[in-house]
Amino acid sequence: MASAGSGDEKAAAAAMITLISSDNEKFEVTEATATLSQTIRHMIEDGCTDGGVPLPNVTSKILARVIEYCKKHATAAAGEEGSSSSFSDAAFLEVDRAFLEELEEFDDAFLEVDRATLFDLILAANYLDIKGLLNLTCQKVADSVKGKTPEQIREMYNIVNDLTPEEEAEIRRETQWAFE
Amino acid sequence: MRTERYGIASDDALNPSSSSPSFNMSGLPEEIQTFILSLLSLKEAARTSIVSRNWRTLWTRHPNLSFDGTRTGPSDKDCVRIEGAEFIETVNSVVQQHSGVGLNSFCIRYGLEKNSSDHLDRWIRFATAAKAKIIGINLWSKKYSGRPIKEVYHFPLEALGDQDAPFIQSLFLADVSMEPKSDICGFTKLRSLLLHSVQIIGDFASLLLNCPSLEDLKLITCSGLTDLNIPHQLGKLRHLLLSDMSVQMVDFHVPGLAHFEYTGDVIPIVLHGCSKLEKAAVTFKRDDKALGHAFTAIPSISAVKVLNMHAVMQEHHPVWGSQVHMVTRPTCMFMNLRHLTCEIKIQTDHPNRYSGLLQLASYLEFAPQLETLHLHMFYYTLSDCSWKEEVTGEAISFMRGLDHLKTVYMSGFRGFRAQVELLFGILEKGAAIEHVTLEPQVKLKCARVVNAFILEWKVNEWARRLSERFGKAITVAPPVRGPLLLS
Repeated sequence: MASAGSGDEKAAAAAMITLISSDNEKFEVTEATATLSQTIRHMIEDGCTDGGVPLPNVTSKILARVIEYCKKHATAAAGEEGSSSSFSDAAFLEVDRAFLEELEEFDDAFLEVDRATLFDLILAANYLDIKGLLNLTCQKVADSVKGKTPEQIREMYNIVNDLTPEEEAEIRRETQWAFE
Repeated sequence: MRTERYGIASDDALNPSSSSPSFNMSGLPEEIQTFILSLLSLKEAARTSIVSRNWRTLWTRHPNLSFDGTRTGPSDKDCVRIEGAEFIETVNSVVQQHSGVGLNSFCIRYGLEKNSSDHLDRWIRFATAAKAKIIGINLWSKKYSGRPIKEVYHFPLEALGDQDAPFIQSLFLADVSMEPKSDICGFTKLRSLLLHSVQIIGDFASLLLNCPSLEDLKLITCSGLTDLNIPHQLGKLRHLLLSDMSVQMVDFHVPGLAHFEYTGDVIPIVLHGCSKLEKAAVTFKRDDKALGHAFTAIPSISAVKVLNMHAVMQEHHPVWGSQVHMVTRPTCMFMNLRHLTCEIKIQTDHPNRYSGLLQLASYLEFAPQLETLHLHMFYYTLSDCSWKEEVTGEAISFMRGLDHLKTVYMSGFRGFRAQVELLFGILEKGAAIEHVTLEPQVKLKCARVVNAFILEWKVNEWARRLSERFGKAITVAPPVRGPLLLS
């Protein structure tokens, strides 16, 4: 059994991994795509991926989205490594910029999901340890809170204000500097 | 506290007014909640404390605490700006409420003196107990400028060694005093040290001895040191900046140095073993031989690839030609020098009689691989009589071939005699020159008035004459007009 992280890169790129969602759906992905997840990378390194990788915390609906993200970004990573000398530097920069723009558009479109899905994507990114996806999704949440009043935040996320008026007044006093 | 978790995956979450909660921070792991809040500024994060009970203390794990009580100057957007009168109270309140967990940086910027020591000590205890990686204490206050008599806060260096393991990676101190002792500890992870107007009492060399990871050292107008003689090797140091340090000598062992900047008097400077130097910037002050000194005073920097230098020249009763040979010969060649930028301010009442600028020709000989020459000039004169007679390049006919020179750019070019002669000489010896650009506009910081009266046609005329003489295209950058005249 070929182990990752060593040996022929082409063989590693072609190696397929099976991921199994909580509702028992199987997804075949390349090792390059799967190893964007540090959690899966470690499993591969430990040689415990025979017969598929069970992901009991991730539903098939979310896993499909996560794989979509990883596929796109794995190609991007491969493109960066594979910079050969067949282009001039300037041509390369041009290609790079176009590719980065495309990736940004992909990310923007990827985030066009309802809040419940966004929430599950964060949990999956955290569990699978996919740094790029975690940053992307958390930034989306932070951006949605930016510049909003507490009332707007509650409304947006269906949060019930369980603070008594006295408590709220006390917090406002304690952190007066933030409300000026 | 945060055990409740609402149903998440329902599709009706698309509708925010739906009664079932779709997304609650409390359903996320604590470190994710903290991470999301850390993407907001501290102030914005703190404002979420009244959203609900779950949100109340989320902000108290914010990794970056930065407070600015000054009204001036740049401040990054994540910094909390506080009115002076409320500064101490506010920082005290935040320090008290903050959990101390996961603190990355703690920065203070406000003109506090020794009489605020109790507060400052408390804040620093907080930051060190929380193992902040970055600590910045800037007590500089504008109202003291020019009045150095004040009692500054004494920064407790020993506080950084109080924890079980070293944590500080970046330390920035301004307008404090410090007393490094030989048994100092806690600095083995320090990568960046910036001291600005710090009174250093005691053993500075031994502080550096205890900083084996140091990559970046900046010392600006610090007092208390007579010399900077650091006998041991700083193996990781890549960037060294010394500015207006009133020391008698500088001696470092820095084999990995990539970037060196110096501003100050002409003093002995030795940088042992810096063969990897990429870039150096040298400004000698209060010295009218500065042009020569930039090439001769620091032989250690001769391995440099990019050199920026700033010089002032002065002569009020010049006789043409008398200044050219006043050069000190460098003791070594600048064999790797590819890009040279010179900023030269020239004080003379007779710009067409002053030839000091031509000294540069002598120094170009010592950089045989030079590819780019940028020359920014500023004549302190109201005379705008450009040279009208012939030029021969005779004064610098000694100059050898500039075989690799490709690009020449001159700003502040007004067609004064020395400027034209220098350009003539360079064009004559630079067979490979591809681009020549002349810009009448003075690019150096100076009175704006000098850019208000530019007789562009005189520069165009010289460009045309030299272009015809040497068969090379010469571009004249048009002066920027408009706002300069209005202000």
